[in-house]
Amino acid sequence: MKFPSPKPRAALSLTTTLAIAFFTLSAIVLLISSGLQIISNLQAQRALVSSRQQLIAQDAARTVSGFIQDKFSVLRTTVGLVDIVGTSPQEQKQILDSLLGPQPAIRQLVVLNARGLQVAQGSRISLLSAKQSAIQLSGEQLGRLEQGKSIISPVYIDPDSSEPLVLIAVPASTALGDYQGALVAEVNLKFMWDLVDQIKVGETGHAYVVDRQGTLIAFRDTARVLRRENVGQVQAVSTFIQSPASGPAMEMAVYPGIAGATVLGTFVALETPDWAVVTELPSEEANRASYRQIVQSVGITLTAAVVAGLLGVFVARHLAVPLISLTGTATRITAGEINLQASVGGPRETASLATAFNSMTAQLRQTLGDLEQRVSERTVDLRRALDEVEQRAREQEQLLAENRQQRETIRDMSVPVLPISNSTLVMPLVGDLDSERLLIVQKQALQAIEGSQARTLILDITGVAIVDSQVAQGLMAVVQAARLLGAEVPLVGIRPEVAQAIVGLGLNLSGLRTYNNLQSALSRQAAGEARRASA
Amino acid sequence: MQRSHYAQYRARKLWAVLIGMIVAAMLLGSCGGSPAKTYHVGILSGLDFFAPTADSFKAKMAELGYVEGQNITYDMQKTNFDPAAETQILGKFVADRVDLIFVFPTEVSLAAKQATQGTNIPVVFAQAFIEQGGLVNSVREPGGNVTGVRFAGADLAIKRLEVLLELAPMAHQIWVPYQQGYPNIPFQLEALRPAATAAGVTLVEAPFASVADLQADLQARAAAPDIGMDAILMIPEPLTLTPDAFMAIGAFAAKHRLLVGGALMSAGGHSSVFGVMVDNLAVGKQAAPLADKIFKGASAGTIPLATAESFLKINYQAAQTLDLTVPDGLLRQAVEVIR
Repeated sequence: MKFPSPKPRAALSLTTTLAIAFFTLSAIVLLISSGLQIISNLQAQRALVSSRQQLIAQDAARTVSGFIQDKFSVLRTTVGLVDIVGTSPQEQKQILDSLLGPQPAIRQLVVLNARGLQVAQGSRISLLSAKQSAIQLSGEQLGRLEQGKSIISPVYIDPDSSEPLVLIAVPASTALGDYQGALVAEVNLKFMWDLVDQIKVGETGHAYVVDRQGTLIAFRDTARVLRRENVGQVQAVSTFIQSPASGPAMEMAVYPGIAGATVLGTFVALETPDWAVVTELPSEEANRASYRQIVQSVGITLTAAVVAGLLGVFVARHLAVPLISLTGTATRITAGEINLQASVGGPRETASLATAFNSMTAQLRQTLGDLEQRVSERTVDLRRALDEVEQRAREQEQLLAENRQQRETIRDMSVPVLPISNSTLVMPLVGDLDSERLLIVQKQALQAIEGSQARTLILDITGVAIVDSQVAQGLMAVVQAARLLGAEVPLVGIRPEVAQAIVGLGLNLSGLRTYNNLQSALSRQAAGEARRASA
Repeated sequence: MQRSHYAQYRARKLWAVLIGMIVAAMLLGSCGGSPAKTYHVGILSGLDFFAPTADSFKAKMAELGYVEGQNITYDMQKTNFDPAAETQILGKFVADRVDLIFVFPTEVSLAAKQATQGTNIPVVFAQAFIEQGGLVNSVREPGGNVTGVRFAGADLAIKRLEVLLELAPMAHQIWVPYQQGYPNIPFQLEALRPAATAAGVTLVEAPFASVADLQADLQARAAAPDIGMDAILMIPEPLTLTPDAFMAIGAFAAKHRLLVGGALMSAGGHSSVFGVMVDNLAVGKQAAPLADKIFKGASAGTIPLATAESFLKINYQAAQTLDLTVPDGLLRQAVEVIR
């Protein structure tokens, strides 16, 4: 299996290292502090939202309750000021008409006597329509009125206008408290719708009103209200349904709201009527400020960390530049510029380092100078010694040449050719004959024969210690060469062991004259010359 | 040398990361919501009498956060009972692909529904009857692309008759002029007739194709020995609301000392005595939340209609000119008494 070769890791520069360190440390510190701050802010924000929601809910409850209470107040004031039941029909009508004028939410007003019969009517709508939608109270409601209690009916929807209506009634009593009848008003709740619709719950939140059964009474989606939708499954409404009539306000809770989205919601129960106002703020909006704060905090943290990193770069550069300069100087000194001086600057430690570096380089230069001086001196000594050696070599060469010349002279002298007469030469050989000397013998013999016109060269080998086959062949070669020049070469002084060697070699000695000694040879030669002279 | 290049590469990469983080931090720090949509609303006022409705509509829209020039623009157009011009203007709204059309009264609302058929442009109407013409399916669920603020049906006309009879209890022949062929007339007359019978009075129904016809009829009545009326009832319709028609009616009524009532109006020095009618400003304010709901995603056809409240207003001065006794009950019920 082949593994990819690891990427070479280069050491980071001091600037980069310090920048990373600053950035990292700053980021960690800021993130921790920001995190704690964010958590704290989130808690505070949640508490603030909860508190604000409670206030909105209470305010909304006051608005809705105020709307109903205002109508009750009008009716109670009227029955308190005038004998609405006992007065004349004309006055009753005037009173009812005067109530309708400033109260657009009151659609109809009727006065009931103690038996529950209608004795007067005032209507914002035509009397014809009013008769078609006559106000009728149940026996239970009339009974409560007789007990001196005000009543409010369940909400009902007008079939013609599709508007929500409710009946409210207050009992009319004599000064002694005897029940005389009641003043009943048909109140159009669409005015309350408008109030509920105008309740601002954040930007996208909403308020709505439900009765004790969970039926929607007011909501911006009026179609749901007109359908008499029961929203008892919504947590706030469910809590209201199960809570006592005058229970405390609900704690803020997170749950799927009436519109389906997750909301922060609460409710405030009204005492009269037995309704509740629910306010819901979508969680998204409730947390928007927190999210924005988180994003801003993260942004600020990152920005601060980056600024810290940049600051780190600045500081690192402040620290690193003298070191980089020192490194460059060292590099150039290494390259040969040994006289360079490092600039002394930056932080104290760096300046000390540069000073120490300069001191070190100065010492190195001093040491190097001494070394160069010593090398120079040594070089001069060596040069002088070399000259002497060369001189001696030349002298030895000369001596060797002279020696060689002497040796040649000696060699030539070791093969002497002695003229005995005009036609006779003697060449006495002494010592060992090697191949070189044999060549000299041959050369000397032939040169002497040619130079003297001699006809006989007596070769005396009495002094030759050893005659081996090579010497014998060499001597025979002299003999044969001399014959080619027209001269005879008799051998003199062949000792018995030499003779045996020549025979042992199987050489052809025909025509070769030999003599026992030089005297015999010379005698024989002299006799021969004498005969030739006489002849 | 390789080592040096690699170190430079890493340093560049580090700087790139740092710069990227700065940019990211700036982006994070400056993040915000996307720019809000600017809505383009076409408004067509089909009758000058109702023109203030548009002003209160825009005012309420501003309260709801739709500030003109910032996140909403209006193309305000006006006609005065001119069907041809209305059709042309509505066609332009459709061509401009406006986000919503706000129209009034009835006939313009019907025209708007017709003009926007096949488009998804929502229509919010006001000052309109829904009983005839097929403007909506029902009050609870209008259907299609239409919703709005309706008149309270025939009750408005009946209430006018009842008030007229309170002011002029001796009147027996009630002249009821109206625009011939106007879509919301028949059902009103159908509702008025039994009410008149129950009250013991006779309705003199007088349809006119034009103001000139109305003027001619009045001239003829003036020349006749019996003008054939004891009072004049203005029902909710456009003809009598035009200045020329009202001046003719006012002059005739003044000459014969007749009560003119139903809609509170003044023109040419003549005034009606009372009006049971909607508050134009209130209607505009009622319509604005409907538009708001549409802009927030609701389908117009699913938004239940709102019903305009009607209010009694009395011109006490005009009543005194005719020596009429205005019952205290009416005066107390009136939201406005002109003295």
